[in-house]
Amino acid sequence: MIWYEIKNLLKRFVVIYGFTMLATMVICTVFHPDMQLGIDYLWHMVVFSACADLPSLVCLRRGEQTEKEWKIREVFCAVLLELILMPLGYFFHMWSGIGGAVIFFLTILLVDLGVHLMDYGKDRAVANDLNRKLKERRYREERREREDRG
Amino acid sequence: MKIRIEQIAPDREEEVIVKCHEPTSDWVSFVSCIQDERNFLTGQKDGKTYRLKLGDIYYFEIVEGKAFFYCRDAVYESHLKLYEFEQKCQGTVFFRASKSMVLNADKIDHIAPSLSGRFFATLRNGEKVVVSRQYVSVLKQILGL
Repeated sequence: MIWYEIKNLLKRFVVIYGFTMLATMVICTVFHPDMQLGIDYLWHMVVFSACADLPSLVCLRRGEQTEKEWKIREVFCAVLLELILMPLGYFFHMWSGIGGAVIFFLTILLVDLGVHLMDYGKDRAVANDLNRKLKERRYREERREREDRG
Repeated sequence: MKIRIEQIAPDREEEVIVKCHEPTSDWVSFVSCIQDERNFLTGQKDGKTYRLKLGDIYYFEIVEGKAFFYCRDAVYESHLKLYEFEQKCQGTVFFRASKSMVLNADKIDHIAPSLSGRFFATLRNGEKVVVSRQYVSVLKQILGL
């Protein structure tokens, strides 16, 4: 199962990186249209996204979680995410001032939500495929029962 | 009549061969009994022991260190461990759905994801159980996806 979790971490890293670059594009277009970003920025985003992936390690645990436990952990992970990324963002000159801090804070939450929604979207597609197959199986079973009854 | 039991290596498949002059109804009944034994388990409820057909079990779950068979309308206690039940159901439609449960795929009515990264399977008796994401791939294999 450890390989499964490592694979998940890597997948999540790629998604976070993608969403973070998208957020950069939107925010810079709206608030700093004249800004130019160097190649260093891409590497900063790699570090930034890897750090953003770290709080998900908190969600790893041996036992199954109840819905309440999951909600508490999600809030804790979100707080941890902000505590890690806000200072890192300041260090990488991604935000300054109170206004910048608020926008950055909300962007972090939005990207986190985006990652969750993307996971949910993939799960939805898997569930649809499974339900289609389950329906086919049920139909075949009912047809067999009808044939057995004559 | 000669009766012989031969012990084989664990990696070889167990088999029963009946050599007879003619497959009479007695022999057919005997073979059916052996086949049925593999498809039946025993469960305890209210101090009584019941013989349960594997196909009637919805899921097997460990709760607070005890094992239970959940059927359509009743719950029976089992002495089997999770891995023992898994071994018994190898090659069937039962699959590990979470760390403490083995679920009968044929008893799933439909499945839905949740934001917590798990799936909720609604069974044919209306009950809802959790299927962990890491075990969904096994269900996909069983259903031929």
